[in-house]
Amino acid sequence: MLARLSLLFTLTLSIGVHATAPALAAQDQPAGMPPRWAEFQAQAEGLLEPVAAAWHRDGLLVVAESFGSRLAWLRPDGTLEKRTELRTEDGGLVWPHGVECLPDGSVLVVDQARASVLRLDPDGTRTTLGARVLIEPQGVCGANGRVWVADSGHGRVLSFSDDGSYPQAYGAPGRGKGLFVEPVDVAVDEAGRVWVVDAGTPKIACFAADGTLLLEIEGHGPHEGLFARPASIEVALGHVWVCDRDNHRVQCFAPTGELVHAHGVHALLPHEGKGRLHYPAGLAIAPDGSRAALVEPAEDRVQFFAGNHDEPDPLLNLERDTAAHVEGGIAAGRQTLVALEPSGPDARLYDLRDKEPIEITRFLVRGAKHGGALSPVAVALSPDARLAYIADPLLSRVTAVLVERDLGAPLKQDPFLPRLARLVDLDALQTVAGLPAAPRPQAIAWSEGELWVADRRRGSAWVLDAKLELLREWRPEGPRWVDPTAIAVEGERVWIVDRKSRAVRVHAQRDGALLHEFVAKAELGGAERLLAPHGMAAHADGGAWISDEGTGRILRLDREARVVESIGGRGMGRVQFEKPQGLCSSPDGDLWVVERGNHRVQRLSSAGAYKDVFGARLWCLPARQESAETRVDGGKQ
Amino acid sequence: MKAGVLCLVYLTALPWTSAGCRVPEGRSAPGTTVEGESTPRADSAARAGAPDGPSRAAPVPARLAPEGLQSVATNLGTFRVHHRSDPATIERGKPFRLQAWITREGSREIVPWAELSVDADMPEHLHGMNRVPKVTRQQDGSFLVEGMLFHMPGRWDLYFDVHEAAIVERAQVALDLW
Amino acid sequence: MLLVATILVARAVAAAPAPSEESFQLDERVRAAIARLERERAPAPDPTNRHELDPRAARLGQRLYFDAGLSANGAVSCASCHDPAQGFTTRDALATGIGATARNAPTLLDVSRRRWFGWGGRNDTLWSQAIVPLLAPHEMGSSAADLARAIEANPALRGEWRELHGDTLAAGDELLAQAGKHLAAYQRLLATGPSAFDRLAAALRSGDAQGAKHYPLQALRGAALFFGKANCRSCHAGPEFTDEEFHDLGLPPVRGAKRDEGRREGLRQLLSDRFRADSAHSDAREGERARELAHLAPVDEDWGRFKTPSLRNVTRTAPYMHTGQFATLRDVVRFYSTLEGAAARGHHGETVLQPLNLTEPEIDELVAFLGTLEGDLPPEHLLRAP
Repeated sequence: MLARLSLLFTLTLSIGVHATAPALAAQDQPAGMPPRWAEFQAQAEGLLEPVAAAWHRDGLLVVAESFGSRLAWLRPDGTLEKRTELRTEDGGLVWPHGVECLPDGSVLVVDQARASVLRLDPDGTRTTLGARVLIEPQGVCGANGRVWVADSGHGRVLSFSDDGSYPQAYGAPGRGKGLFVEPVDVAVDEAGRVWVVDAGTPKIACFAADGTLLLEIEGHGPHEGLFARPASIEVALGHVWVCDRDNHRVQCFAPTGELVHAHGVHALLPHEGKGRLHYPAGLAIAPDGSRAALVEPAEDRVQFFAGNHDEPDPLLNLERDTAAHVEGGIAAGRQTLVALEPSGPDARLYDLRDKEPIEITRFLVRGAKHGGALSPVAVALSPDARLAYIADPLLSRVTAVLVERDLGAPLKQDPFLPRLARLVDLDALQTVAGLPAAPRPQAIAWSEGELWVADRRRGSAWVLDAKLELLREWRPEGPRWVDPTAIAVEGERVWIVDRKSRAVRVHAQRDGALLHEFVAKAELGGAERLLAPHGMAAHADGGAWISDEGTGRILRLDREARVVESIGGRGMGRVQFEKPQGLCSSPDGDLWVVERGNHRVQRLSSAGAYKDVFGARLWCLPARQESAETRVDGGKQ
Repeated sequence: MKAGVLCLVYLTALPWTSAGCRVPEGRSAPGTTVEGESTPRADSAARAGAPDGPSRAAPVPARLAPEGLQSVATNLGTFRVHHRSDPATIERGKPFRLQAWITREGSREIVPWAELSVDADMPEHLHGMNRVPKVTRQQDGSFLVEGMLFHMPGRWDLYFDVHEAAIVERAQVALDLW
Repeated sequence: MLLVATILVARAVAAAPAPSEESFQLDERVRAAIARLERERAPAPDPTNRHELDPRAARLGQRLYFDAGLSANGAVSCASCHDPAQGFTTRDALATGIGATARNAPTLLDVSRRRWFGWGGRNDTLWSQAIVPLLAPHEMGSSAADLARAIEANPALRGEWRELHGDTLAAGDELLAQAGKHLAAYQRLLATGPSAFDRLAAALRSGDAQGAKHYPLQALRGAALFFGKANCRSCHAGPEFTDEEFHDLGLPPVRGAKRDEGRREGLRQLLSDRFRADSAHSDAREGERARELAHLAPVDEDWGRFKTPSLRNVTRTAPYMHTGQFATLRDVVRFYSTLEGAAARGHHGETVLQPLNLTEPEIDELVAFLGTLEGDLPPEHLLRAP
């Protein structure tokens, strides 16, 4: 039986905050200045893509490790106390995201694989909440006996009582006052106000307990008071704190909306840490206000800070240019390569005539304008490399860009090369009109004159022609897609990687029937260990290569989705991969691998041997040649 | 003579088959269908607002785009945008308007259901205009575009985006301004 | 029209060593660029201000301009921050009226030629801008009521007002609008004369090689940079040396400075300004300026953008930038050359400015060029109270 929830554990030090009136009057301004979490104390490394954290009543920090399907319990000195494996009854893996600790010692964990919230009671009981009402839940918090979840699939925040009943919604999908594109976290303050952070717009919004919109702070950019993919929000010490992820900082606001300060020094060296930040995505402030933990998924790390009131040196953040943050998908033709930088956003076109890819142009400026993008995560090239097709889930859009050029002409950089040919707004298709959730196209593949676009929201694929006209919608049978990150069509078969289900499935194209499936299970080890499948490239023998962001390996599956071999492993050397994402095969059979963690793209032969690398060469130590140790044959440890 | 403070070199976008862009072997000529594409559907469910073929009421005489205008084909060759500016010469830093007609490529007959949006960029500078143009459909089937301003010297790409239901296809014109 | 080369010395036949002074030639494109730049004889009239061209209104405006009695503390007039003896600005980095403000005072020389007013473009007409410092608490801290009192208390002022507007003195916003229009009429007269650069451009246009020779060589090299590899004319474009729009240079942050949103805030203020070009107080509510308002929309990229100032008479208006953080033109050019200390705009944003990596002589040349943009000041009788 749950004790009554309160927020005292987050607001112990608040001064002068009036808990009664929901209006944001001047008296809400606390007298004390909140600290900057700038005094580095400790860090914990080696976590498996930690995404969120919360302080437990016993003084430990609970961290959700999304790739690891587990919780890590950390001491404030950064050492590990214990781990809690998260499994379903049938031994399936969970995809944990948001986490919250309740005063009675129970822990809430969002499971993105099942779109629900797990509650773990101290006595070991597990309960599922919110199943069938949530789509793509992200952050979670508990307050006043209720559970609050950022339900980004519905563009809203949903709250329900601690047994899952009496749901109440705040916000709705869209752009505008009180509407959200991608709400990713929620926090509730002592006055019962609901604070929501929307990574898509981006903005933060505040609702009164009765749902009235009180204020919004909106705007994308690097300046203080603006945001770039803010990832989490917290209320503590009478203030509102936002992890401004792509600006590598934390911003602190008064409840009136006034910016108090922003702090965060961007890391310069790879994996630097020790107080310098790299994509901080989660913030947890200790109940006594003495320290804060910052979660950095991209670094597999949590850093602990104490607060101070030093004025930061404005000249500390002077770096202007940086290596590319290649992520997401990649596409290769005979002499053309297109790689993506979703956080830019940016798409880059390379010429492959020389050994090393030479960048000759970029396209996709940030924005909703035609030819722009907000989250370009997947790309496909037409066979003649004349058109590049980009899928953007936040815009519900597929954009076709003309990138043709004279392949024999001398190389030169040309900003005028790319021209927008066509785009399709999938949300405007008549077949979609009236449905509550906009399409989220996030994987794309070309096959025999058709463009296949996997839609995360609808759990189906749109099949378009080369000019983006809709031919049909293709529905698979079997388990519903949760997070299709790669799609490939080979003859009569459709392959799909469903990342958060940790599954690779093969369907019959004709009727969608599920033919074969590889699903990661907790007991699978060795070469069959699959923590976070992401990219896929067809293999000549009818099977496919699958990248695993969690283990840093690339598995090869045969035609029946059985693991044949795996190559690589984590590291910075040759045939080593850090968070490998997009994969593609070029016509000559080479395999290209996008490594988010190493800021680079690696090129391998069709047999998986090292050929080349480009991107952040500075950090690429050709430490060792590919050796027998890096290849693990199927079935062996 | 009024020494032009700013003068315009008005370039039409090179059609993609001009010198420098070889037509890949085996492909059809530009402006026709891309290999593998099915013929455009007149009754596509995806094309909201398109007139149904057989069930149309009494035929309306087709309207034509005026002759003698500058024109440019869309980048995939489906449409052609006929246009003129007011003033006739676009000058840097001076507001101007445009008038545009949308036809199918190879025809001067106005496409009645297509919509138009207009924008512009300086690709070298990674920015566009500081203005939001307004496009309004006129009685004669043309589109009036107001509020345009090119504030910096250099190469501007002017975009005519033709909307048909959920799909947008772009035609563009390059201008060099002093 | 044929353009004759400006400075021509028959070149020696042999291979060219480092170019000597005498053999410097302007590139054809640069010559053409300079020749194009012919200034409009006078600023275009502003129909939103029906008093703009009326000499009586200008005289009245001149009285107001130098009258410290309009301010709340009786010590601040327009001339306090826009001092005719200091290029219609001051040597302070940040202007100080009744209190400290957050920005450098822009010059009023040739201000009538500008499209937007204020570093953030907060106003779309000169007369509506003139009202802003009048009312701003840190500047003059006045009000319509204070203005009325000051007018009533000054017989000369009251008489001239009566002559223009009739016996009944207006009140509230109407009175403020009248005052602004008078001030704008006066400021329109603060025009500077042709500069050495203008004489060069005219000489190039007319093929007057002799006339062109008067232009200093060092400045000519600077012109070659300005219109050539330094590409300053990209933003400092046209005969006014400004594109009249807004850019973010990524200026080094100034310690202790408050956050300044620039155009983003300025546009918000403009769109909610009760004196804007299509407001009831405008005399051309449906004119071109008014219509343009419909095409302005705040965008996030406007954050941190500030107006491109005109470079004419820039030698008179130190210190520089909206923060006044560069004391000399050398400091400004050096910043563009190295971009040292430029603010990180996040590596996910675009960087349009690239360091120019100029040599010391090149910096001198650019500064020399900027010196040739100086024109004669307005007549002496306009530089003091009437």
